[in-house]
Amino acid sequence: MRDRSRLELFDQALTRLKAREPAKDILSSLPADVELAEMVYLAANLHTTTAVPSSTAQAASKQGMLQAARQTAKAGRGMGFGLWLRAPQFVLVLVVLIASLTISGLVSAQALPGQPLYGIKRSMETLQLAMTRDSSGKLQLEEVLDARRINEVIRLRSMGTESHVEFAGWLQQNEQGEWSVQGVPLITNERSPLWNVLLNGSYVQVTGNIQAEGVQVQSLELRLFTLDGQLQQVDNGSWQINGIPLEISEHTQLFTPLMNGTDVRASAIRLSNSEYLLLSLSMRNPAKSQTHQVEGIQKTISIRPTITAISGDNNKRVPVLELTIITTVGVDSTSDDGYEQDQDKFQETMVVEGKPDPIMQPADTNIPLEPPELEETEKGQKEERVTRTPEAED
Amino acid sequence: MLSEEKSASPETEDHQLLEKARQNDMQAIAMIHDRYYPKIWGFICYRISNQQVCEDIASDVFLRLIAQLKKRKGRIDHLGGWLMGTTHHLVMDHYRDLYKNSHSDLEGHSNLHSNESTHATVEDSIQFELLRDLLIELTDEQQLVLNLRFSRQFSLEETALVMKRSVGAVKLLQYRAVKSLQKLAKKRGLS
Repeated sequence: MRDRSRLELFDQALTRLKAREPAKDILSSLPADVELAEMVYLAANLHTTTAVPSSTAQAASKQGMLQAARQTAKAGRGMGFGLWLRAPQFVLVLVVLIASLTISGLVSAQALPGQPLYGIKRSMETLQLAMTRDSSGKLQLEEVLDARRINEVIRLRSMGTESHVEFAGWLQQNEQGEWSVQGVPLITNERSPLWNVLLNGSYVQVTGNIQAEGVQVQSLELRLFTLDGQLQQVDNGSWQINGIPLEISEHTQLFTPLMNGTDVRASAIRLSNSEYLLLSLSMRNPAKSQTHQVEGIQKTISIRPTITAISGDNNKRVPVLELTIITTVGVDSTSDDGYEQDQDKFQETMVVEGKPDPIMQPADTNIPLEPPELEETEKGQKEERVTRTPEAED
Repeated sequence: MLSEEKSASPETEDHQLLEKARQNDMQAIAMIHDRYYPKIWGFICYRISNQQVCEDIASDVFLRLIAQLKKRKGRIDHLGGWLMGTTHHLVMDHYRDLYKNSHSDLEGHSNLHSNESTHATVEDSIQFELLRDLLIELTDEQQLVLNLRFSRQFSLEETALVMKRSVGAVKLLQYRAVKSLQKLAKKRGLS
Protein backbone atom coordinates (compact mmCIF):
# COMPACT_ATOMS: atom_id res chain seq x y z
CA MET A 1 0.00 0.00 0.00
CA ARG A 2 1.23 3.42 -0.81
CA ASP A 3 2.32 5.60 2.11
CA ARG A 4 0.01 8.40 1.01
CA SER A 5 -3.15 6.32 1.15
CA ARG A 6 -1.94 4.71 4.37
CA LEU A 7 -1.51 8.19 5.80
CA GLU A 8 -5.13 9.03 4.96
CA LEU A 9 -6.42 5.73 6.32
CA PHE A 10 -4.41 6.19 9.51
CA ASP A 11 -5.88 9.65 9.94
CA GLN A 12 -9.39 8.23 9.57
CA ALA A 13 -8.55 5.53 12.11
CA LEU A 14 -7.29 8.15 14.59
CA THR A 15 -10.53 10.08 14.30
CA ARG A 16 -12.54 6.96 15.03
CA LEU A 17 -10.24 6.08 17.93
CA LYS A 18 -10.96 9.54 19.35
CA ALA A 19 -14.62 8.67 19.11
CA ARG A 20 -13.81 5.66 21.35
CA GLU A 21 -14.40 3.08 18.63
CA PRO A 22 -12.42 -0.13 19.33
CA ALA A 23 -9.31 -0.61 17.16
CA LYS A 24 -10.51 -4.05 16.06
CA ASP A 25 -13.74 -2.63 14.62
CA ILE A 26 -11.91 0.16 12.87
CA LEU A 27 -9.44 -2.19 11.23
CA SER A 28 -12.17 -4.56 10.07
CA SER A 29 -13.62 -1.77 7.95
CA LEU A 30 -10.26 -0.83 6.47
CA PRO A 31 -8.30 -2.63 3.72
CA ALA A 32 -6.02 -5.33 5.09
CA ASP A 33 -2.61 -3.82 5.84
CA VAL A 34 -0.37 -5.30 8.53
CA GLU A 35 1.69 -2.17 9.00
CA LEU A 36 -1.39 0.04 9.24
CA ALA A 37 -2.95 -2.36 11.72
CA GLU A 38 0.14 -2.26 13.94
CA MET A 39 0.11 1.54 13.88
CA VAL A 40 -3.58 1.71 14.75
CA TYR A 41 -3.14 -0.67 17.69
CA LEU A 42 -0.19 1.39 18.88
CA ALA A 43 -2.19 4.61 18.52
CA ALA A 44 -5.02 2.98 20.49
CA ASN A 45 -2.57 2.36 23.30
CA LEU A 46 -1.41 5.96 23.14
CA HIS A 47 -5.00 7.04 23.66
CA THR A 48 -5.40 5.37 27.00
CA THR A 49 -4.98 8.42 29.18
CA THR A 50 -8.27 9.82 30.22
CA ALA A 51 -7.28 11.03 33.64
CA VAL A 52 -8.74 14.26 34.99
CA PRO A 53 -6.90 16.63 37.28
CA SER A 54 -7.67 16.66 40.94
CA SER A 55 -9.97 19.51 41.85
CA THR A 56 -7.80 20.39 44.88
CA ALA A 57 -4.72 20.77 42.71
CA GLN A 58 -6.65 22.84 40.20
CA ALA A 59 -8.01 25.16 42.90
CA ALA A 60 -4.57 25.55 44.46
CA SER A 61 -3.06 26.39 41.08
CA LYS A 62 -5.81 28.96 40.45
CA GLN A 63 -5.24 30.57 43.83
CA GLY A 64 -1.52 30.74 43.15
CA MET A 65 -2.09 32.34 39.77
CA LEU A 66 -4.51 34.95 41.12
CA GLN A 67 -2.20 35.76 44.01
CA ALA A 68 0.71 36.24 41.60
CA ALA A 69 -1.48 38.46 39.41
CA ARG A 70 -2.49 40.58 42.41
CA GLN A 71 1.11 40.95 43.53
CA THR A 72 2.21 41.91 40.04
CA ALA A 73 -0.61 44.45 39.76
CA LYS A 74 0.28 45.87 43.16
CA ALA A 75 3.96 46.03 42.28
CA GLY A 76 3.06 47.79 39.02
CA ARG A 77 0.92 50.35 40.82
CA GLY A 78 3.56 50.73 43.52
CA MET A 79 6.25 51.34 40.94
CA GLY A 80 4.15 53.99 39.23
CA PHE A 81 3.35 55.74 42.46
CA GLY A 82 6.94 55.36 43.64
CA LEU A 83 8.19 56.92 40.46
CA TRP A 84 5.88 59.86 40.96
CA LEU A 85 7.15 60.14 44.50
CA ARG A 86 10.74 59.85 43.44
CA ALA A 87 10.45 62.22 40.47
CA PRO A 88 10.97 65.37 42.60
CA GLN A 89 13.96 63.67 44.21
CA PHE A 90 15.51 63.01 40.81
CA VAL A 91 14.88 66.61 39.77
CA LEU A 92 16.37 67.84 43.05
CA VAL A 93 19.49 65.71 42.63
CA LEU A 94 19.82 66.93 39.04
CA VAL A 95 19.42 70.57 40.07
CA VAL A 96 21.95 70.17 42.89
CA LEU A 97 24.38 68.48 40.51
CA ILE A 98 24.04 71.18 37.86
CA ALA A 99 24.23 73.92 40.49
CA SER A 100 27.30 72.46 42.12
CA LEU A 101 29.01 72.08 38.75
CA THR A 102 28.09 75.64 37.79
CA ILE A 103 29.16 77.08 41.16
CA SER A 104 32.42 75.13 41.23
CA GLY A 105 33.02 76.25 37.64
CA LEU A 106 32.34 79.89 38.53
CA VAL A 107 34.34 79.76 41.74
CA SER A 108 37.21 77.93 40.12
CA ALA A 109 37.23 80.51 37.32
CA GLN A 110 38.79 82.93 39.80
CA ALA A 111 41.24 80.36 41.14
CA LEU A 112 44.96 81.00 40.82
CA PRO A 113 47.85 78.54 40.54
CA GLY A 114 48.52 76.92 43.90
CA GLN A 115 44.91 77.26 45.05
CA PRO A 116 42.73 74.18 45.63
CA LEU A 117 40.21 74.90 42.88
CA TYR A 118 42.84 75.62 40.27
CA GLY A 119 42.94 71.97 39.23
CA ILE A 120 39.19 72.04 38.52
CA LYS A 121 39.58 75.18 36.49
CA ARG A 122 42.33 73.66 34.33
CA SER A 123 40.40 70.39 33.95
CA MET A 124 37.33 72.25 32.74
CA GLU A 125 39.47 74.20 30.30
CA THR A 126 41.04 71.00 29.00
CA LEU A 127 37.59 69.47 28.58
CA GLN A 128 36.35 72.57 26.79
CA LEU A 129 39.36 72.46 24.48
CA ALA A 130 38.89 68.75 23.80
CA MET A 131 35.23 69.30 22.95
CA THR A 132 36.03 72.00 20.43
CA ARG A 133 36.35 70.28 17.05
CA ASP A 134 36.80 73.23 14.76
CA SER A 135 40.42 74.35 14.36
CA SER A 136 39.48 77.98 14.16
CA GLY A 137 37.37 77.76 17.29
CA LYS A 138 40.13 75.85 19.04
CA LEU A 139 42.64 78.57 18.24
CA GLN A 140 40.29 81.25 19.51
CA LEU A 141 39.80 79.28 22.70
CA GLU A 142 43.55 78.78 23.09
CA GLU A 143 43.95 82.52 22.71
CA VAL A 144 41.41 83.12 25.48
CA LEU A 145 43.12 80.59 27.71
CA ASP A 146 46.54 82.14 27.05
CA ALA A 147 45.14 85.53 28.02
CA ARG A 148 43.72 83.93 31.17
CA ARG A 149 47.16 82.53 32.10
CA ILE A 150 48.74 85.97 31.63
CA ASN A 151 46.03 87.49 33.80
CA GLU A 152 46.77 84.93 36.50
CA VAL A 153 50.46 85.81 36.44
CA ILE A 154 49.68 89.51 36.76
CA ARG A 155 47.32 88.87 39.67
CA LEU A 156 49.82 86.62 41.44
CA ARG A 157 52.52 89.24 41.03
CA SER A 158 50.27 91.96 42.43
CA MET A 159 49.48 89.70 45.40
CA GLY A 160 53.18 89.03 45.90
CA THR A 161 52.59 85.28 45.73
CA GLU A 162 55.49 83.15 44.64
CA SER A 163 54.17 80.40 42.48
CA HIS A 164 55.08 78.21 39.56
CA VAL A 165 53.38 79.44 36.40
CA GLU A 166 53.09 78.51 32.76
CA PHE A 167 51.94 81.03 30.21
CA ALA A 168 52.26 82.02 26.58
CA GLY A 169 52.44 85.25 24.63
CA TRP A 170 54.49 87.50 22.44
CA LEU A 171 58.14 87.81 23.48
CA GLN A 172 59.49 91.32 23.39
CA GLN A 173 62.69 93.10 24.24
CA ASN A 174 62.72 96.78 25.11
CA GLU A 175 65.39 99.33 24.38
CA GLN A 176 67.11 98.58 27.67
CA GLY A 177 67.39 94.97 26.60
CA GLU A 178 64.81 93.74 29.11
CA TRP A 179 62.60 90.88 28.03
CA SER A 180 58.93 90.47 28.67
CA VAL A 181 55.98 88.35 27.56
CA GLN A 182 52.74 90.27 27.21
CA GLY A 183 54.09 92.85 29.65
CA VAL A 184 55.23 90.29 32.22
CA PRO A 185 58.94 90.89 32.84
CA LEU A 186 61.23 87.91 32.44
CA ILE A 187 64.22 87.51 34.71
CA THR A 188 66.96 84.96 34.46
CA ASN A 189 69.45 83.35 36.78
CA GLU A 190 72.28 80.87 36.22
CA ARG A 191 69.80 78.01 35.67
CA SER A 192 67.65 79.89 33.18
CA PRO A 193 68.03 79.05 29.51
CA LEU A 194 69.47 81.66 27.23
CA TRP A 195 67.49 82.48 24.16
CA ASN A 196 68.48 84.17 21.01
CA VAL A 197 67.72 87.76 20.29
CA LEU A 198 66.05 86.65 17.11
CA LEU A 199 63.20 85.20 19.10
CA ASN A 200 62.13 88.77 19.79
CA GLY A 201 58.59 89.11 18.53
CA SER A 202 57.88 85.37 18.60
CA TYR A 203 54.94 83.74 20.25
CA VAL A 204 56.49 81.71 23.05
CA GLN A 205 55.57 79.42 25.90
CA VAL A 206 57.21 80.21 29.22
CA THR A 207 57.40 78.29 32.48
CA GLY A 208 58.90 79.77 35.57
CA ASN A 209 58.46 81.03 39.10
CA ILE A 210 56.92 84.35 40.01
CA GLN A 211 59.30 86.69 41.80
CA ALA A 212 58.86 90.30 42.86
CA GLU A 213 60.68 91.55 39.77
CA GLY A 214 58.97 89.27 37.31
CA VAL A 215 58.94 85.65 36.26
CA GLN A 216 62.17 83.77 36.70
CA VAL A 217 62.34 81.72 33.53
CA GLN A 218 62.80 77.96 33.71
CA SER A 219 62.02 77.25 30.08
CA LEU A 220 61.19 79.33 27.03
CA GLU A 221 60.07 77.69 23.83
CA LEU A 222 58.31 78.64 20.65
CA ARG A 223 54.66 77.79 20.95
CA LEU A 224 53.62 75.08 18.49
CA PHE A 225 50.06 74.93 17.21
CA THR A 226 48.31 71.95 15.65
CA LEU A 227 45.74 72.75 13.01
CA ASP A 228 43.29 70.14 11.77
CA GLY A 229 40.93 70.75 8.91
CA GLN A 230 40.42 71.20 5.21
CA LEU A 231 43.11 72.77 3.12
CA GLN A 232 41.83 75.56 0.90
CA GLN A 233 43.46 77.89 -1.55
CA VAL A 234 42.12 81.41 -1.59
CA ASP A 235 41.96 83.83 -4.50
CA ASN A 236 45.38 85.40 -3.95
CA GLY A 237 47.01 81.96 -4.12
CA SER A 238 47.67 81.64 -0.40
CA TRP A 239 46.50 78.65 1.58
CA GLN A 240 44.22 78.29 4.56
CA ILE A 241 43.12 75.54 6.89
CA ASN A 242 39.53 76.04 7.95
CA GLY A 243 39.89 79.73 7.17
CA ILE A 244 43.13 80.17 9.11
CA PRO A 245 45.71 81.89 6.87
CA LEU A 246 48.99 80.03 6.47
CA GLU A 247 52.38 81.11 5.29
CA ILE A 248 54.28 78.38 3.53
CA SER A 249 58.03 78.63 3.23
CA GLU A 250 60.32 76.40 1.23
CA HIS A 251 61.29 74.75 4.49
CA THR A 252 57.76 73.67 5.18
CA GLN A 253 57.75 69.92 5.16
CA LEU A 254 54.92 68.72 2.98
CA PHE A 255 54.05 65.08 3.49
CA THR A 256 51.00 65.51 1.30
CA PRO A 257 50.67 67.64 -1.81
CA LEU A 258 48.91 70.98 -1.49
CA MET A 259 45.45 70.19 -2.81
CA ASN A 260 42.18 71.97 -2.29
CA GLY A 261 39.79 70.13 0.01
CA THR A 262 42.37 67.75 1.48
CA ASP A 263 41.79 66.82 5.09
CA VAL A 264 45.08 67.71 6.73
CA ARG A 265 46.89 68.11 10.01
CA ALA A 266 49.45 70.86 10.23
CA SER A 267 51.93 72.03 12.79
CA ALA A 268 52.61 75.72 12.79
CA ILE A 269 54.02 78.60 14.75
CA ARG A 270 52.27 81.89 15.14
CA LEU A 271 53.48 84.80 13.08
CA SER A 272 50.84 87.31 14.01
CA ASN A 273 47.44 87.38 15.59
CA SER A 274 45.90 85.81 12.55
CA GLU A 275 48.73 84.26 10.55
CA TYR A 276 50.66 81.06 11.02
CA LEU A 277 53.88 79.75 9.54
CA LEU A 278 53.40 76.20 8.41
CA LEU A 279 56.12 73.82 9.57
CA SER A 280 54.73 70.51 8.42
CA LEU A 281 51.64 69.27 6.67
CA SER A 282 50.31 65.73 6.50
CA MET A 283 47.09 63.89 5.73
CA ARG A 284 44.82 63.76 8.75
CA ASN A 285 43.31 60.40 7.85
CA PRO A 286 45.79 58.63 5.58
CA ALA A 287 43.88 55.31 5.69
CA LYS A 288 41.12 56.83 3.54
CA SER A 289 43.56 58.17 1.03
CA GLN A 290 45.51 56.60 -1.78
CA THR A 291 48.53 58.71 -0.92
CA HIS A 292 51.35 57.38 1.17
CA GLN A 293 51.08 57.30 4.89
CA VAL A 294 53.70 59.29 6.67
CA GLU A 295 54.47 58.78 10.26
CA GLY A 296 57.22 58.89 12.79
CA ILE A 297 58.32 62.41 12.08
CA GLN A 298 61.05 63.53 14.40
CA LYS A 299 62.41 67.01 14.18
CA THR A 300 65.39 68.43 15.95
CA ILE A 301 66.17 72.04 15.45
CA SER A 302 69.57 73.05 16.54
CA ILE A 303 70.36 76.74 16.59
CA ARG A 304 74.07 77.34 16.50
CA PRO A 305 74.85 81.03 16.41
CA THR A 306 78.23 81.78 14.91
CA ILE A 307 80.01 85.06 14.22
CA THR A 308 81.61 84.16 10.97
CA ALA A 309 79.54 85.64 8.28
CA ILE A 310 80.28 88.91 6.65
CA SER A 311 77.29 90.73 5.46
CA GLY A 312 76.43 94.00 3.93
CA ASP A 313 78.59 96.31 1.91
CA ASN A 314 80.57 97.55 4.86
CA ASN A 315 82.13 94.13 5.59
CA LYS A 316 80.89 94.30 9.13
CA ARG A 317 80.99 91.04 11.12
CA VAL A 318 77.64 90.19 12.48
CA PRO A 319 76.31 87.13 14.29
CA VAL A 320 74.69 84.69 11.99
CA LEU A 321 72.15 82.15 13.18
CA GLU A 322 72.50 78.75 11.65
CA LEU A 323 69.63 76.39 11.99
CA THR A 324 70.17 72.77 11.27
CA ILE A 325 66.94 70.89 10.83
CA ILE A 326 67.33 67.14 10.97
CA THR A 327 64.18 65.38 10.11
CA THR A 328 63.73 61.64 10.31
CA VAL A 329 60.76 60.49 8.37
CA GLY A 330 59.35 56.99 8.44
CA VAL A 331 57.50 56.40 5.22
CA ASP A 332 55.03 53.55 5.10
CA SER A 333 53.94 52.77 1.64
CA THR A 334 51.86 49.99 0.20
CA SER A 335 52.97 48.66 -3.10
CA ASP A 336 51.91 45.72 -5.20
CA ASP A 337 54.70 43.68 -3.68
CA GLY A 338 53.47 44.25 -0.19
CA TYR A 339 54.33 46.44 2.67
CA GLU A 340 57.49 48.41 2.67
CA GLN A 341 58.96 50.78 5.13
CA ASP A 342 61.70 53.29 4.52
CA GLN A 343 63.37 55.78 6.71
CA ASP A 344 65.02 58.79 5.25
CA LYS A 345 66.93 61.45 6.97
CA PHE A 346 66.91 64.97 5.67
CA GLN A 347 69.23 67.67 6.78
CA GLU A 348 68.62 71.28 5.99
CA THR A 349 70.51 74.29 7.04
CA MET A 350 69.15 77.77 7.26
CA VAL A 351 71.56 80.55 7.84
CA VAL A 352 70.05 83.68 9.17
CA GLU A 353 71.72 86.85 10.16
CA GLY A 354 70.99 88.43 13.51
CA LYS A 355 71.94 91.76 14.82
CA PRO A 356 74.54 92.11 17.58
CA ASP A 357 73.04 91.80 21.00
CA PRO A 358 74.77 93.99 23.53
CA ILE A 359 72.89 92.60 26.49
CA MET A 360 72.66 88.87 26.01
CA GLN A 361 75.38 86.80 24.54
CA PRO A 362 73.69 84.05 22.54
CA ALA A 363 74.65 80.54 23.44
CA ASP A 364 73.92 77.12 21.98
CA THR A 365 70.24 76.59 22.51
CA ASN A 366 68.28 73.56 21.53
CA ILE A 367 64.68 74.41 20.91
CA PRO A 368 62.65 71.28 20.52
CA LEU A 369 60.19 72.97 18.26
CA GLU A 370 60.08 74.33 14.83
CA PRO A 371 62.22 77.24 13.70
CA PRO A 372 61.11 80.76 14.44
CA GLU A 373 60.19 83.13 11.69
CA LEU A 374 63.50 83.49 10.02
CA GLU A 375 64.41 84.23 6.46
CA GLU A 376 66.95 82.19 4.70
CA THR A 377 69.93 83.88 3.23
CA GLU A 378 71.75 83.01 0.13
CA LYS A 379 75.42 83.42 -0.57
CA GLY A 380 76.30 86.62 -2.20
CA GLN A 381 72.95 88.11 -1.45
CA LYS A 382 72.53 91.05 0.83
CA GLU A 383 71.38 89.72 4.15
CA GLU A 384 68.85 91.49 6.19
CA ARG A 385 67.59 90.66 9.58
CA VAL A 386 63.94 89.88 9.64
CA THR A 387 62.16 90.39 12.88
CA ARG A 388 58.49 89.92 13.12
CA THR A 389 56.63 91.94 15.62
CA PRO A 390 53.17 91.27 16.86
CA GLU A 391 50.55 93.27 15.14
CA ALA A 392 48.67 93.80 18.32
CA GLU A 393 49.02 92.78 21.89
CA ASP A 394 46.39 90.75 23.63
CA MET B 1 -13.28 14.66 6.46
CA LEU B 2 -12.29 14.58 10.09
CA SER B 3 -14.76 15.54 12.72
CA GLU B 4 -12.52 17.08 15.32
CA GLU B 5 -13.83 18.09 18.68
CA LYS B 6 -14.83 21.65 18.85
CA SER B 7 -12.65 24.03 20.82
CA ALA B 8 -14.23 25.09 24.06
CA SER B 9 -12.82 28.57 23.78
CA PRO B 10 -12.99 30.49 20.53
CA GLU B 11 -9.93 32.47 19.65
CA THR B 12 -11.72 35.79 19.90
CA GLU B 13 -12.71 35.00 23.47
CA ASP B 14 -9.09 34.19 24.21
CA HIS B 15 -8.04 37.57 22.83
CA GLN B 16 -10.60 39.37 24.98
CA LEU B 17 -9.54 37.40 28.03
CA LEU B 18 -5.91 38.19 27.33
CA GLU B 19 -6.60 41.91 27.03
CA LYS B 20 -8.54 41.92 30.28
CA ALA B 21 -5.85 39.84 32.01
CA ARG B 22 -3.26 42.41 30.94
CA GLN B 23 -5.34 45.02 32.74
CA ASN B 24 -5.26 42.87 35.90
CA ASP B 25 -8.87 41.73 35.56
CA MET B 26 -8.94 38.89 38.11
CA GLN B 27 -12.07 37.39 36.66
CA ALA B 28 -10.49 37.07 33.23
CA ILE B 29 -7.37 35.54 34.76
CA ALA B 30 -9.51 33.01 36.61
CA MET B 31 -11.38 32.17 33.42
CA ILE B 32 -8.13 31.53 31.57
CA HIS B 33 -7.08 29.17 34.33
CA ASP B 34 -10.39 27.31 34.30
CA ARG B 35 -10.34 26.99 30.56
CA TYR B 36 -6.79 25.76 30.12
CA TYR B 37 -5.84 23.94 33.31
CA PRO B 38 -7.38 20.55 32.29
CA LYS B 39 -5.73 20.68 28.88
CA ILE B 40 -2.38 21.61 30.31
CA TRP B 41 -2.62 19.06 33.07
CA GLY B 42 -3.55 16.34 30.57
CA PHE B 43 -0.72 17.42 28.31
CA ILE B 44 1.79 17.12 31.13
CA CYS B 45 0.43 13.89 32.55
CA TYR B 46 0.56 12.32 29.14
CA ARG B 47 4.32 12.52 29.42
CA ILE B 48 5.00 12.47 33.13
CA SER B 49 3.52 9.80 35.34
CA ASN B 50 4.31 11.53 38.64
CA GLN B 51 1.15 13.39 39.54
CA GLN B 52 2.85 15.80 41.91
CA VAL B 53 5.27 16.83 39.17
CA CYS B 54 2.32 17.28 36.78
CA GLU B 55 0.60 19.62 39.21
CA ASP B 56 3.79 21.59 39.87
CA ILE B 57 4.48 22.09 36.17
CA ALA B 58 0.84 23.05 35.48
CA SER B 59 0.97 25.72 38.21
CA ASP B 60 4.30 26.95 36.91
CA VAL B 61 2.83 27.44 33.42
CA PHE B 62 0.16 29.82 34.76
CA LEU B 63 2.64 31.74 36.90
CA ARG B 64 4.77 32.22 33.80
CA LEU B 65 1.72 33.50 31.97
CA ILE B 66 1.22 36.18 34.63
CA ALA B 67 4.87 37.20 34.36
CA GLN B 68 4.63 37.27 30.55
CA LEU B 69 1.54 39.48 30.61
CA LYS B 70 3.53 42.19 32.38
CA LYS B 71 6.32 42.19 29.84
CA ARG B 72 6.18 44.73 27.08
CA LYS B 73 8.25 42.59 24.75
CA GLY B 74 7.08 39.24 23.42
CA ARG B 75 3.34 39.81 23.50
CA ILE B 76 1.18 36.70 23.39
CA ASP B 77 -0.74 36.42 20.14
CA HIS B 78 -2.34 33.03 20.64
CA LEU B 79 -3.09 32.12 24.22
CA GLY B 80 -3.54 28.36 23.69
CA GLY B 81 -0.44 28.12 21.58
CA TRP B 82 1.66 30.05 24.06
CA LEU B 83 0.46 27.94 26.98
CA MET B 84 1.09 24.63 25.22
CA GLY B 85 4.48 25.76 23.93
CA THR B 86 5.51 26.78 27.43
CA THR B 87 4.19 23.54 28.88
CA HIS B 88 6.12 21.51 26.32
CA HIS B 89 9.33 23.37 27.18
CA LEU B 90 8.79 22.77 30.89
CA VAL B 91 8.17 19.06 30.28
CA MET B 92 11.36 18.84 28.24
CA ASP B 93 13.21 20.70 30.99
CA HIS B 94 11.90 18.17 33.45
CA TYR B 95 13.32 15.33 31.36
CA ARG B 96 16.62 17.11 30.97
CA ASP B 97 16.83 17.52 34.74
CA LEU B 98 16.05 13.84 35.17
CA TYR B 99 18.89 12.92 32.84
CA LYS B 100 21.26 15.31 34.59
CA ASN B 101 20.42 13.99 38.03
CA SER B 102 20.36 10.42 36.70
CA HIS B 103 17.79 9.16 39.12
CA SER B 104 14.48 7.55 38.56
CA ASP B 105 11.76 9.10 40.63
CA LEU B 106 9.46 6.28 41.38
CA GLU B 107 7.55 8.02 44.13
CA GLY B 108 4.11 9.03 43.15
CA HIS B 109 4.19 6.62 40.18
CA SER B 110 1.31 6.83 39.49
CA ASN B 111 -2.30 7.04 40.33
CA LEU B 112 -2.64 8.70 36.98
CA HIS B 113 -5.28 6.35 35.77
CA SER B 114 -7.27 6.23 38.93
CA ASN B 115 -10.06 8.10 37.21
CA GLU B 116 -9.90 6.21 33.98
CA SER B 117 -13.01 5.56 32.07
CA THR B 118 -14.50 2.16 32.49
CA HIS B 119 -13.23 0.69 29.21
CA ALA B 120 -9.58 1.39 30.05
CA THR B 121 -7.91 -1.68 31.34
CA VAL B 122 -4.87 -2.20 33.53
CA GLU B 123 -3.23 -3.94 30.60
CA ASP B 124 -3.72 -0.89 28.45
CA SER B 125 -2.28 1.24 31.16
CA ILE B 126 0.86 -0.88 31.42
CA GLN B 127 1.21 -0.85 27.66
CA PHE B 128 0.90 2.92 27.67
CA GLU B 129 3.52 3.30 30.40
CA LEU B 130 5.94 1.27 28.31
CA LEU B 131 5.24 3.33 25.23
CA ARG B 132 5.60 6.56 27.14
CA ASP B 133 9.15 5.59 28.03
CA LEU B 134 9.87 5.32 24.33
CA LEU B 135 8.44 8.74 23.50
CA ILE B 136 11.54 10.46 24.78
CA GLU B 137 13.54 8.81 22.01
CA LEU B 138 11.50 10.55 19.32
CA THR B 139 12.37 13.94 17.92
CA ASP B 140 11.16 17.00 19.79
CA GLU B 141 8.47 17.74 17.21
CA GLN B 142 7.29 14.13 17.09
CA GLN B 143 6.95 14.11 20.87
CA LEU B 144 5.00 17.35 20.77
CA VAL B 145 2.60 16.24 18.04
CA LEU B 146 1.83 12.95 19.78
CA ASN B 147 1.43 14.74 23.08
CA LEU B 148 -0.98 17.28 21.65
CA ARG B 149 -2.97 14.82 19.60
CA PHE B 150 -3.12 11.83 21.92
CA SER B 151 -3.70 13.58 25.19
CA ARG B 152 -7.19 13.89 23.62
CA GLN B 153 -7.30 17.59 23.98
CA PHE B 154 -6.19 19.03 20.68
CA SER B 155 -7.74 18.92 17.27
CA LEU B 156 -5.63 18.89 14.11
CA GLU B 157 -6.27 22.61 13.66
CA GLU B 158 -5.30 23.46 17.23
CA THR B 159 -2.19 21.34 16.97
CA ALA B 160 -1.29 23.06 13.72
CA LEU B 161 -1.73 26.44 15.42
CA VAL B 162 0.45 25.52 18.40
CA MET B 163 3.15 24.03 16.21
CA LYS B 164 2.89 26.80 13.62
CA ARG B 165 2.45 24.21 10.87
CA SER B 166 -0.23 23.41 8.32
CA VAL B 167 -2.88 20.78 9.07
CA GLY B 168 -1.38 18.57 6.34
CA ALA B 169 2.06 18.86 7.89
CA VAL B 170 0.65 17.88 11.27
CA LYS B 171 -1.02 14.81 9.75
CA LEU B 172 2.26 13.73 8.19
CA LEU B 173 4.18 14.45 11.37
CA GLN B 174 1.86 12.41 13.56
CA TYR B 175 1.96 9.52 11.07
CA ARG B 176 5.76 9.51 11.06
CA ALA B 177 5.85 9.84 14.84
CA VAL B 178 3.64 6.76 15.30
CA LYS B 179 5.67 4.86 12.72
CA SER B 180 8.92 5.72 14.51
CA LEU B 181 7.40 4.72 17.81
CA GLN B 182 6.26 1.43 16.28
CA LYS B 183 9.82 0.69 15.11
CA LEU B 184 11.18 1.50 18.56
CA ALA B 185 8.56 -0.71 20.17
CA LYS B 186 9.46 -3.60 17.85
CA LYS B 187 13.11 -3.10 18.67
CA ARG B 188 12.29 -3.41 22.37
CA GLY B 189 9.94 -6.33 21.80
CA LEU B 190 6.88 -4.39 22.91
CA SER B 191 4.72 -4.78 19.87
